[in-house]
Amino acid sequence: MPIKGIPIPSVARNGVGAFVKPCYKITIQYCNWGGSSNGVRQLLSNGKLNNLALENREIMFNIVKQKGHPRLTFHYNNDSVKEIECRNNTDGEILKKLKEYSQNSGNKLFKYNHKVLSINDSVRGIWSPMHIPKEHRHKI
Amino acid sequence: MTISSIMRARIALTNVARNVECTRSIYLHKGPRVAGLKRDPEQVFVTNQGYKYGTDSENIKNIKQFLSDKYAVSDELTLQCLTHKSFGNGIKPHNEKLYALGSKLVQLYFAKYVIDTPNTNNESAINGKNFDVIGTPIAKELGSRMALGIFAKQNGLNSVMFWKSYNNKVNFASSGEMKVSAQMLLALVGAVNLVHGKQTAEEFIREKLLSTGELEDITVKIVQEAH
Amino acid sequence: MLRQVIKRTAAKNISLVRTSGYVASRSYHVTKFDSRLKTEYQLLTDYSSYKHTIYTHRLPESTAEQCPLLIALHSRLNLPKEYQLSTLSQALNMQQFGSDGLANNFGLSTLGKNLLSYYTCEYLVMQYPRLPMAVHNTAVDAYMGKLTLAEIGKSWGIEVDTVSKLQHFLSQEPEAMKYGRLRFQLEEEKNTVKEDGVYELSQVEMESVDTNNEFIPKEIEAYASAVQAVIGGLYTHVGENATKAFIHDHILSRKLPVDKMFQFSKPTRELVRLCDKLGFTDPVELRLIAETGRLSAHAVYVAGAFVGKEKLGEGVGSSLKEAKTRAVVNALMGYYLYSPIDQDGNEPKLPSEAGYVFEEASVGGGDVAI
Repeated sequence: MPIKGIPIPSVARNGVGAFVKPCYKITIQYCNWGGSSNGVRQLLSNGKLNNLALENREIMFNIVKQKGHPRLTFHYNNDSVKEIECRNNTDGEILKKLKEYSQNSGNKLFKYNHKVLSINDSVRGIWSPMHIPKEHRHKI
Repeated sequence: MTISSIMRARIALTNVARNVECTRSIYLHKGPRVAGLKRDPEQVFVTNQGYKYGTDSENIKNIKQFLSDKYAVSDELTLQCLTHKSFGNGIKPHNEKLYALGSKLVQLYFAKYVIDTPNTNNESAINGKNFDVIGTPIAKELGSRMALGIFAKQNGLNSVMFWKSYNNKVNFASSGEMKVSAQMLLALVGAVNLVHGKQTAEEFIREKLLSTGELEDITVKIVQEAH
Repeated sequence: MLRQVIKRTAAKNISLVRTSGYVASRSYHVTKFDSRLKTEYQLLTDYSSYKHTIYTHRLPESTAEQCPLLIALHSRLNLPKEYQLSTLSQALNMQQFGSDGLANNFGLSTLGKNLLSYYTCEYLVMQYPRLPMAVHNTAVDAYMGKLTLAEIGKSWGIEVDTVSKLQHFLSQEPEAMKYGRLRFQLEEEKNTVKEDGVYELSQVEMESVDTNNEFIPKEIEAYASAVQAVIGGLYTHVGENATKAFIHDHILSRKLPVDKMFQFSKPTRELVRLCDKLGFTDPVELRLIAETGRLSAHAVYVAGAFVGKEKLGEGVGSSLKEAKTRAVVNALMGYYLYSPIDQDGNEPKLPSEAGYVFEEASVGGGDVAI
C-alpha cells in the first residue's frame, strides 16, 4: 500500500456544536448537629438549594448527612474532583461557591503569559527568506 | 563561477528547453508484460470478456436501464461505478469511495427498514421499533455482499464490469466476482446519493432493491441454506 | 412506514434464485443465530415477530424517573422530551446475558453505529473527496472509533456501575440508582479485589488482543456502545433529522488533524502515478528553486515539484533529497486534502440536506496502486 493512515484521535471542542457542562455531580456533605454546618442546613431548609438544582438540571446533587465539618465535592468529566471546605460559611457564601465551582472546567488553574492559546495553526504562515526576489535577498 | 551564476545558467537552460516544442514518442508494448515497458492501453484496458474500457453505450446500457431516468447519473460516473480499483492498478477513476458511501447508506437504510415494525407484539420494542431483529441472520445478510452480488448477477448488472480477478476460472464467490458485483451495486447507490441527494437515494434503494421482493427472497434463501 | 409503502409483487423470483453452491463456498460465512439469545420468530422476513426470549422486559418508565443520574444525563445532553428515560437507561446496559432479564443496548447501539457511520462518511466524502481510502478510514476512526466514542461518553459524565449487590444493599442506595450507570461487568467481576495499577484481562479481553499486543478494554467498549446507543435511541424517539443534528453537534464538531494522518512510503512514485492518472502530458520534474549555504554546515534548499510550467508543491530541506521529498509530499497533500467550496465560498451542502446540489468536484477518482 502506498499510503497508510496514522491513527490520531479527533480533539474535543466543547462548545463548538454542543456544549456539555463539565461539572456533572456535586456532593454536599453536612452534619445535622454541628454548628459549622449551620449554613448548609439553612440552604437545605430555605429552598435555595432546590432552586439551584432546578436551574442546573444537568448536575446531579447528592446530599450526604455525615458527622464532621461540611464539605462540597465537585466531580468533573475530566476525572478531576475538587473538594471545598465550607465550615462556618453562611448560606449565601456556600451558594456562591456552588455556583462558582459548578461553572468550572475541572482543569487546574494556570497562568498563561501569551496572547493566544489555540489548537489551530496560525493562518499567517511562517516568513521565509528564500521567497523574496533574488536581488533583495540578504547576501552572506 | 559563483553559485548564483550557476543557478542563473540553469534557469536559462530550462527556459531554452521550454521554448523548444518537443513531442514525446513512447514505445507502447503489445503482448505479455515486460518489466520497464509501457503497455499499449488498447490492450491493457480490456476486460476478460473483451469489453473495451470507455463510456460506450454497450458497456453502460444495463446500468442506465436499471437506474432509469429518475435516478440517472452521468456516463462518466456510471463508468466509474463499474470500475473496480483492481482494474489497471487504479489508474482509471474507480468506485472505492462511492462504494464506501453507498454501503453505509444501504446498511443504515436496511437497519431502519427491519426495525420499522409498528404492529409488533414484542414488549421490548421501543416506539414500535423491534430491536430484537437487529443482529439476526436475516438482518445481517440483507445488505451483505452475498445477497447483493447475487442480486446484481440476476439482474444482469454485472455483465460488464472493469476489474481484475486473481483467478477467473473459479466460481462466482471465490473468484471475487460476487464481492466486486456487490461493491459495484453499492457504488451505484453511492453515486445516486451524491448526484440526487440522500432522500432520492433511499427511494432508489426502496424502489429498485426492495419493492420487487427479490433481494429479500435471495437473502431468505441464503439464510435457509446455511442452516 | 417503510413497510407499508412497499408493495411486494409476490414471490415470483423464488424459483430463479440459485444460491446453492455460493453459500457453501469457503470464502463466505453466513451469519448464524446466537443460540444463547433464544430467539423466536414466525417467518424469516416477519421482522415484527422476532423476540429474544431471554430478555423479559424493559425498565418501567416510572422506575427510570426515580433515577437522578438519568434525569441529569438527559438534560446534560439536551435530549428532547420525547426521549424516554427508560430508553436512556437501556442504552447504558451492555450486559448481554444479564440475570435480570432487562433488554440490553445491542440493537440500539448497532442502529446508532449505522447512523454514525453514514453521517461521518458523508461528511468526510463531501469535505475531502480525494482523501485516500486508508486515510479516509483512519479519519472515520478518529471521529467514531471506540476510543473517541469512549472519550465522548466519559465527557458526558456517564458513570460505571462497579457496585456489587451486597455493597449496594449496605450503602442503602436506592435501587433505581443502578439503572443510571453503565452496566457491563458481571456480578462476580465486581466482587473481585482490585489492586491499584494492576489490571487483569478478562477472558473476552484476552481473545481480543491482536498481533500488535493491543486490546480494547471492556470499559472502553461499553462506553462506546453506550454513546452509539444514545444516538440510536434518539432516532427511535424523534427521528433522523434530530439525530443528524446531534451527530454533527457532538461528534463531527471535533477537530480532525487530517493533515497529520498521512504516512507515505514512496511519495515520488506515487506522484508520478497520480499525474499519469490525471492525464498530465508533461512529465513530473523536481527543480531547485533556491538555496543557501551549500558549502556550510546548515545548507537550506527549496525544491519544487513541477509538471510543465505548473508548480504542484514546494519543500524546504537541509539536503537536496530532503527538499525534494518534502516538495513531492507537499504536492500530494495539496491534491489529497482538496476541499471543495460552493459558489459563495461556504462549505458545500451534504446530500442529506435540503437544497443539496451536485458538484462534479465532490467525486474523487480514487487512489492509485504503486
